[in-house]
Amino acid sequence: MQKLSDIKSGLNRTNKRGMALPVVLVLFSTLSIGIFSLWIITNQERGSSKNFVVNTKAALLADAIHVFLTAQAYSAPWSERFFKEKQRFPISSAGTGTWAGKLQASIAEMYKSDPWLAANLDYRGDISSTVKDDQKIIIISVIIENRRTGDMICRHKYYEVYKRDLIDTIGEGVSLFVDETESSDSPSEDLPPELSQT
Amino acid sequence: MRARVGFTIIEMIFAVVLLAFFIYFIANSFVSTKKQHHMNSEYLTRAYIADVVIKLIKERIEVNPNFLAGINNIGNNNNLDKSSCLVNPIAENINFNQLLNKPDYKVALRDIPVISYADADKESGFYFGIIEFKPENDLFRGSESGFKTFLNVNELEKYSYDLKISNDSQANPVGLVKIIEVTVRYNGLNQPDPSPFKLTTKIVCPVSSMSSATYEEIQKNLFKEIASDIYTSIEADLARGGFSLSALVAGIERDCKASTFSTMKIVDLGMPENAPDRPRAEAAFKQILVLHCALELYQEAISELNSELALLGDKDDVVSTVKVMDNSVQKAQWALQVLEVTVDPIDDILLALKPAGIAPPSPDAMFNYQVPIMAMRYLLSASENDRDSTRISRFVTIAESLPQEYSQSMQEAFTRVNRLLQSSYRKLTPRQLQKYSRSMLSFYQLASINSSRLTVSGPRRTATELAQQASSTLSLLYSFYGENNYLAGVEFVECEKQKLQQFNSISATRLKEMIKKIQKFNNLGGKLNQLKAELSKIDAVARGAQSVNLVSAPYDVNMDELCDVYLKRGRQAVTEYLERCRREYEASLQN
Repeated sequence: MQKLSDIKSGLNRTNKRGMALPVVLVLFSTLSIGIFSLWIITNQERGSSKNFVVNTKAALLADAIHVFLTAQAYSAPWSERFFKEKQRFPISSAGTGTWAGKLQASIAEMYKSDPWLAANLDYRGDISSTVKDDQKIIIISVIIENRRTGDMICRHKYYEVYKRDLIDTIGEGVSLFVDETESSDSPSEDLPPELSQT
Repeated sequence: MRARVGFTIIEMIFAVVLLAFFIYFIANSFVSTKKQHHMNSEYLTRAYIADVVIKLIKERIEVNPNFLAGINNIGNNNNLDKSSCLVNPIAENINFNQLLNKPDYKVALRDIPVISYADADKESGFYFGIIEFKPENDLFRGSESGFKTFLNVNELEKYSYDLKISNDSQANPVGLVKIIEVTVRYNGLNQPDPSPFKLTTKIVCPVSSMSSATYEEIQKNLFKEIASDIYTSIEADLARGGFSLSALVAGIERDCKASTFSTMKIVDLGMPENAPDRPRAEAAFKQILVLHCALELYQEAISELNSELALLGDKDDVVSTVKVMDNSVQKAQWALQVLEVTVDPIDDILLALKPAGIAPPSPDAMFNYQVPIMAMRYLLSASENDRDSTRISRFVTIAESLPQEYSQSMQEAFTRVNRLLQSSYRKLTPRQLQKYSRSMLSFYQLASINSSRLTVSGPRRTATELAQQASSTLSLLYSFYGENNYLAGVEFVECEKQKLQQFNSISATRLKEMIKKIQKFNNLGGKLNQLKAELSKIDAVARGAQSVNLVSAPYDVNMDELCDVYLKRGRQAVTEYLERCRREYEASLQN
């Protein structure tokens, strides 16, 4: 029969021998957790950098579409405007000389200049008009989406008061911009209070 | 038995290998994470710089709308100082007429340093090639504290950017939309930046930087619409009164028949032989009504606006000035719009007053005077709004006030906003200063454009006087912006001062469309007086006070007598009367 002292010393030996692996494992785990946290933080930083870039480029693309359509609105008299009825874009079968064809060609130039835009961003939206208290208002809504996932990146709505004649042209124009990206509601058809109260 | 303590050699080797492997793995992860962090940081810095440059350029254009035209001018210069080229591009004397007449637009600048120094002490220089910093500028004072630390200057010195601005060839009119492209590079490597960051967008070119051709095209489109609002008001006004054009013509027909003059008594558009005269009469009265309604609506609107203006008084505060500006613009707008809808109808009415188909002389020739007589009867009758005056006299009076109203309204708006700027420029916010100084310059343009050709009665200030006042306000703003180191504001004022000096030469090409409109003010009075003279002539013919020289019949005929003969003895008697006239004429020739 084994003596009690032998059993104790055996246990002791086993305990001391078994310390190497746990020490290494604990050290590895601690460092791993540290590195993993660092990796997570770096990844988050990378994600937020990417978000900043995506949001900036998307907002500038939306601005570019708005600017192009505003210019198109001034390329013909108000009575001959192409957006008497609400017009949606892009139009897949748009002819080269039409407003939609020109818009697509103009944005294609931007895509060519910055291939990242072409690979990552899609746009859609509409242009319409309304008359409120003798003010002719151009309403342009632009939605920018992620080309790969289809997720919406931004939704901007622009209101432009159409200038009537030279007195208005020389003076300062009225323009409003509403960022509806964070709005969970469907796009509003109402004019913003700044315009509806005039 | 003694217990063996410590590790075996195999355990030791195993632990060391494992530890070495872990350390290698961890170190590797740490290094790659750090590298990724640096890459992220550089990438984000590039993105921030590009974003800031786009925002600064947009803001610069907002402050000085002449900026785009100015850098185009600089962009064509091969000897560029890249570190400062965007800071004050139009400071030198420049021929704005030449500058704005350039239809093409392309600016391409490479390697503009994000931070560059103008001196060895790094006390002055440029941020983004756009913002100038100087030791005397409080905002940038302090070497490493404050703004410089905030900007992490040492890191930013390693970046530069390329700027391209060009016309969007797809947008119409070409030149209205400009493409802005910014490419940011990191220059801290031994090789060219492998991943430069690019941002691109479009902006609407401000009127001040637009080529004259583009501006003219926009003006033409806008002017096509100028009359439509008035026509809408006229239609609404007529609809409110339950108006019918045929009922009006029938009413005038009845009125003519009730007259004591035979020429009027015979007016009868119901006769089969007069069938073509009914549409002719209706077309003429349609134009007369446009003229009538447009001038009366204008008179009503101006009276209301003048009452509002009288209530505003002569205060110099911002609210009153804005109200006066708005009121004046509305008055000038009315004058321009009414001018547009009255000139063409007068031409049509003058045409309708010519008795068509009067030759050869026949018993029916007298009926050709029916439409002119009806028009005369209407226009020479007393005005509803001024019983002491005929309709045509009232029209002439109102029309004569149009150029005066336009000119005075613009002068009033200019004077008020100029006075506000001069008295309160230190109290106004930068945005208000920008807005009102631009409004003041616009009113100056509209008030002084072609003013020498405007025949305005009463006291009128000369364009030189207005220019002097605008110039003195600009000088005040120049000092104010200078004192505050608001360099973009200084640049704007410098440009506008030069434009003010060159206004006569610029406006001749730049505001061509507007000049054409203004010139119509002078034609309007002349045309209405011609209409008045024609009506007097027809009136004399209708009353028998003046004989008519019929076409292809050299003898004169008294229409009242002729119509009298017709009414009393019928058509055969008219033939006999005309034959007698012919014989008398031939006899007079033999004598």
